[in-house]
Amino acid sequence: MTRIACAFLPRFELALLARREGPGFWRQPAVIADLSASPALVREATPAAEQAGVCSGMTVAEARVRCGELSVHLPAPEARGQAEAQVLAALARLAPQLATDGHGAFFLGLSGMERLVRDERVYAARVEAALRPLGFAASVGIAGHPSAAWVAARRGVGPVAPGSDARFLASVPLAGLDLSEPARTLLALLGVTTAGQVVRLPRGTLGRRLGPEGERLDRLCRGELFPPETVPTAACVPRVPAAAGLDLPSPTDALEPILFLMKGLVGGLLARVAAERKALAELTIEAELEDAGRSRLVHRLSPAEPTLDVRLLVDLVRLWLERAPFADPLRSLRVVASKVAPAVARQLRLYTRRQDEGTAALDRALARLAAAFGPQAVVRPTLAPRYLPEGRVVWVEAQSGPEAPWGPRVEPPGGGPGEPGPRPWALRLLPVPEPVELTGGAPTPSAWVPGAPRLLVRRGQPPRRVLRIEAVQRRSGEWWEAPFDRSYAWVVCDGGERFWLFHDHRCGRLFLQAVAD
Amino acid sequence: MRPAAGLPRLAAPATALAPPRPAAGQHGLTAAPLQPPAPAPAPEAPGRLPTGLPALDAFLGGGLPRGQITEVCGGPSSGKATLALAACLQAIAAGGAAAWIDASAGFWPLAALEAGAPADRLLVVRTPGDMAAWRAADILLGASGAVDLVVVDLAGRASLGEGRLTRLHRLAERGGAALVVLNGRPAESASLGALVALRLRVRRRDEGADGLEVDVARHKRGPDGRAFLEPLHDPDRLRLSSTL
Repeated sequence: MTRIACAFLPRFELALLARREGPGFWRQPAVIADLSASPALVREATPAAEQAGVCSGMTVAEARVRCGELSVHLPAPEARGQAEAQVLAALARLAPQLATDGHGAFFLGLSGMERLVRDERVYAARVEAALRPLGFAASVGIAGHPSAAWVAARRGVGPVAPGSDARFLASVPLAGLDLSEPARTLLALLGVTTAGQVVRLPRGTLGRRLGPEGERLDRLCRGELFPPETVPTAACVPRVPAAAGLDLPSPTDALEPILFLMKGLVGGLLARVAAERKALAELTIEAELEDAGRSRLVHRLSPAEPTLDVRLLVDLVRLWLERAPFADPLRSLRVVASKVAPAVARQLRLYTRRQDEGTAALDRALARLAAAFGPQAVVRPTLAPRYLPEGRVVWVEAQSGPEAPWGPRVEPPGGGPGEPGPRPWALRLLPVPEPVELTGGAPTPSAWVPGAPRLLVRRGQPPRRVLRIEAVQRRSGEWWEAPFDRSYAWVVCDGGERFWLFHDHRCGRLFLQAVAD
Repeated sequence: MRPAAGLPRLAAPATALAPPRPAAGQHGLTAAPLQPPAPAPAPEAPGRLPTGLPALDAFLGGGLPRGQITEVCGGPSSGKATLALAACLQAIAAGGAAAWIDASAGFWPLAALEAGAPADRLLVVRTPGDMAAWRAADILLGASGAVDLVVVDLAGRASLGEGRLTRLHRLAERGGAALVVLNGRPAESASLGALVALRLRVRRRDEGADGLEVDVARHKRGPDGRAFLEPLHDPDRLRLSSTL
């Protein structure tokens, strides 16, 4: 039989403020307001504000009229998310399946825990005790359905007897629910005082009379308030990353002993990850060094794909340590499975095609190259829309994975070899343009006269006889950033050497930019 | 090195390397379309990786040997990198991937990109020096099937221990990738080692138009001391000869 516990944290967002401000906050008239609504509405109110006539659902303007000292606070989604994660982490010690509605109700799935939860009242007390250190006063209800458990938690009635959810819900007085004053008045006039009476009304009647509030009340009384995602599942249970570590009896900076230790640690780590039917997607290495400040290094390594292969991971560690060895002897080492992913059945790989193997091999090579030389060293060229020719080649970091441009192998049309592509020159770009001279005539390529004898003079090299100058082209632009005005040209020298020069019209000098090789 | 006198010479089409012809809206680095159009390449021969230079491919029996080491010698601006880039683009056009290990930190494929070459599957690894370049080659060849062609573009003069060369040779052989080493030594200098299966000496020729002269200095699995003759469209563009 399915049993679900609900830990209800009343005024959840105000409780977050109270944790920060101290217990005295509850004695102040304060509300959490939803300013995105028009008009702005009160979402939660402190008991002091309620005593002054303020209640949830009321407009902020009306609340201010009723309570002049009212302080209005905005929701803090980030703080709420952090608090929810804390609560889920605390509840994960008590149940294997969790869920939350995002409004202060946390559900614990008790399926399969019958032998552990012999007395539900004791279990409810344990849940309340688990949340008390976090600063939350929870009330816990247990029933066979989320709606019944939620109502039981709100009313503080504890466990509902198995099989009696419908009877329990039918007996719930509407006065105990957070209804707005108009709704409460209307229902009282109609003589509807319990949830059971609401259920006997035709479906949709309350929605037509009371709007969204009526619809919500209708669904609550029928046990349909909580959608299926609030049924507790294992997916919501926060994962504590698997980790392993050791202190070295004698600090060392020798690579092989460190790798030997690493292999043992990673092997144990992977066994724990594999036990959860997961594979490791990111390994975090935390190393404490034996220097004066006992500095701590943190490095993350990502394999090409989630893996359970110890050798592959140790190999990545080796490449990393060969590139960036520890500056001081290693004192302690810790490895954390910081990212995991569902493990893929090995059998599936038997049916993958060779092209996928090639892509996977390339991904592995990319990961190893990035570990050995750094991610910026593994790049691919792309063309950028720039006026300055030197800026047109942009190097982008080569990524692995399915979105990478090399992805699966591309079969050429017809299955045969592709058409021969262009055979352009391979160029070597000088890191800084080198000043050169053209002697024996006009100094600029654009003023070249065919047939005139000419020499190209590079500093520290013998002069070369120029055969001809080709493809002279003047380019200017980028006035908004770094204006330039240049004439580019190919200079062909004796022996077939090709140099790419530009004449800078702004300074009147000639520079060598690239060499065709 | 000039081909031996009396040997029949093999010529490539006149556009083995197209002269620059700026297209509208582009600057002068764009390579013009081939003219006359190069013939469609023959289907890839088993164990060979076409270079995209039909005359050279025909002479080599289909292209560069897969699973073997090819050494391309030539001084600065000799055209050795152009030859290697043509082979890379050919491998990519055939659906594979190629890697260029750049120890010289100057590789700049602007002309290839502007000519519309499919350089997006060209992986460039920048290494700090020649030793790191060999290590990168080790990694790439060790990932069997990752790339079809690995070009090691060295900053200095290539020198490699026999042990490392043997390992690279084994890795290339196992994965079926072609390893091309660009060696900036003069053409007359000694080879990298005995495991080099193909040694090409490249120099650029310019006699009115651009061209590439390739001498096949060593070809272990190819014709021994023989030359192949094709109709000579232009004898001064691409000359091939075998000295073995």
